Amino acid sequence: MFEAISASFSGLIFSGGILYLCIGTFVGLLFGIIPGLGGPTALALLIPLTFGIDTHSSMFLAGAIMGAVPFGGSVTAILINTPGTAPNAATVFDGYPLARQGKAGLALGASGAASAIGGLLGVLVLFAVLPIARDVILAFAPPEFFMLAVLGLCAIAVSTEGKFLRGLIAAGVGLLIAAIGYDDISGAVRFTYGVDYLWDGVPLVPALIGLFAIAQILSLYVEGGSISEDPGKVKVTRVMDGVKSVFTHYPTLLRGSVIGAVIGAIPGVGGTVAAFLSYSTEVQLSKEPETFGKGNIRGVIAPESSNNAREGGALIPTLAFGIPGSAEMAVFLGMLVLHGLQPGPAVLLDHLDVVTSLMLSLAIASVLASVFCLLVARQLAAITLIDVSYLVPIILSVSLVGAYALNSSMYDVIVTVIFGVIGYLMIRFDYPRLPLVIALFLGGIVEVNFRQSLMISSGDWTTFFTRSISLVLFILIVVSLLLPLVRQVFKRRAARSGKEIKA
Amino acid sequence: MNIRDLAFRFLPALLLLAFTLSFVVTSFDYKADTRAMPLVIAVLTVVLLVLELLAQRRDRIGEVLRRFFTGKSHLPVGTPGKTPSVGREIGAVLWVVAFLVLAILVGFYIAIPVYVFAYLAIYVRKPPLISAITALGIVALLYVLFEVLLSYPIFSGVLFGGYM
Repeated sequence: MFEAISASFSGLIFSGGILYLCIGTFVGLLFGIIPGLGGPTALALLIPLTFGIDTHSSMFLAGAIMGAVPFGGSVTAILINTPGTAPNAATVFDGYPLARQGKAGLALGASGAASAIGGLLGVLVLFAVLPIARDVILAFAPPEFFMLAVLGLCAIAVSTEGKFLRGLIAAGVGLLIAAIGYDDISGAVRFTYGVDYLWDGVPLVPALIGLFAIAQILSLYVEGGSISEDPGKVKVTRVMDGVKSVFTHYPTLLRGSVIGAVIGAIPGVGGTVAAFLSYSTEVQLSKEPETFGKGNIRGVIAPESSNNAREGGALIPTLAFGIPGSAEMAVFLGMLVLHGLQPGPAVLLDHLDVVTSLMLSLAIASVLASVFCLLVARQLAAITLIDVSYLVPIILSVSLVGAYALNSSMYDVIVTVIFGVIGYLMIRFDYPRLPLVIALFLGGIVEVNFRQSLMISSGDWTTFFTRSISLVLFILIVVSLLLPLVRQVFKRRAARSGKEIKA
Repeated sequence: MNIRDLAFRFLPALLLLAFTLSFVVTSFDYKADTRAMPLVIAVLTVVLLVLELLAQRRDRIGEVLRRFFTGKSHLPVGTPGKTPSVGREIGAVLWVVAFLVLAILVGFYIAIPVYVFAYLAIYVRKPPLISAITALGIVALLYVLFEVLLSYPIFSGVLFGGYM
């Protein structure tokens, strides 16, 4: 291992690795900041370009992109309520309210530091877990995947404080939308109502751009003014306060990083679930859950640390078993194959130096991207002072062109606008968007794993409760659903005891 | 109690109920295993929507349900926060839809400057010169980013042979 690490450092310093690392970091930030693009697109575009360069340099490039994209996406999430990539959606809920309160610098500082440290912790987890990764991954079968997905949904519905019922309704509607298109088990086409475009289902990223970017544009149209409620209050000088807050709230940082690394390691669940799960965990553990969604700095730290840490986690099944943990990792596997590497245990045994190069670039890029963005945080935060009249057409144009660029399809743009209107109506009528978004992601996972579980067990329902991990996840689901009730009981008791003391 | 208040309380749940019921009805067109999961979810969502509609009533049942699900027994008065006019909201949606239609017809490189200039100069009454510079600046930025740096050809509009 030591030889592999020293070979990677040597490649980084003496063979032009630093240059590829810087290019990858810049490209990653750019693709992260532009709504609708993101890591998979950046990697897919760069795969043909890496053919002419050596494997180590390719790993520096790929690792830097993977390390920089998550933080790039948080910049727009905080400043203009538009997540650059899907996993940054959770950052919107507290990052944007902070920007509106004139604390964009604070939010950016916290996001940058959490991303950097989360990224480093994710790589450390990868480093530590690689030797035992196989047993952990193989312990997850369809019943566990099903329970994990349901837990994600319940936890998120519950985290919408005061809107539990509406959160569950939004989740239900999201699951129904996710059911549109091919049934992954039987191959039948469902609920397309004669529209061929819907055979592959409602495209996720255009829907996300609509629910966040377009919905926000519609709100800005209606409200006018600037993003910051009081332009005079914008204090970008508090960037370092944001960095410090990450250390003050270190349990949040550690929880977010661990959740990110663990969830990232589970194939198919992805970074969005990790970010939302770490966010909802913070809400549930907080003594003041009502402050979330209104500008609680922990609501920025948790998803951002998780978001970057999951990159390290996602590399575990990708490198160890050749099972991609996400779309980004699937594209990355393509890059490995292009360079003559067979993903799986052979990579770890025969090409450990390639793996360490990747880990090194991932770790450095997480820090480099954050430092770079924090240096220009003042300029970035100034975006919130711009008259929204100018921002509206800019965001709309970039969002719609970004939605088109995903698949070169104008139907994706139409879906984006439709979901934009839905998102605006949800804001307007006080329905939480978070459960809808997460249900869109988890719909396929829930159904496929539920049906596979029953197929494997020959229709025996007890399979969900007789497997230890599945049972633990089920208990967590029940606990998560009971939490609001328990919290209410405690609040009432506290209120009563308060009255008695006054009397 | 006015129509606006009633609409705010009941309309969203009623629209979602119609959407969900359409899934229930349509699901019977498919085989049992294909429809099972969506049907279960749709039925559960219908139950939740009925509870939501009951929770919006100003009676004892509504109060109990609100307290159980939201921790509050009272209904919000009117719409929360600022209450923009419906006309302004429809106008906002129409601007976005008009841009989309224009982009489909003539492509982004014509639609963007037309829309940006029209929006800035006519709708929000910014100086024409600044509006024109902003419009051209956005097109130039997108052109450099997508066409030059990323080699992404951008949609040219169905009228000019673009493929949807």
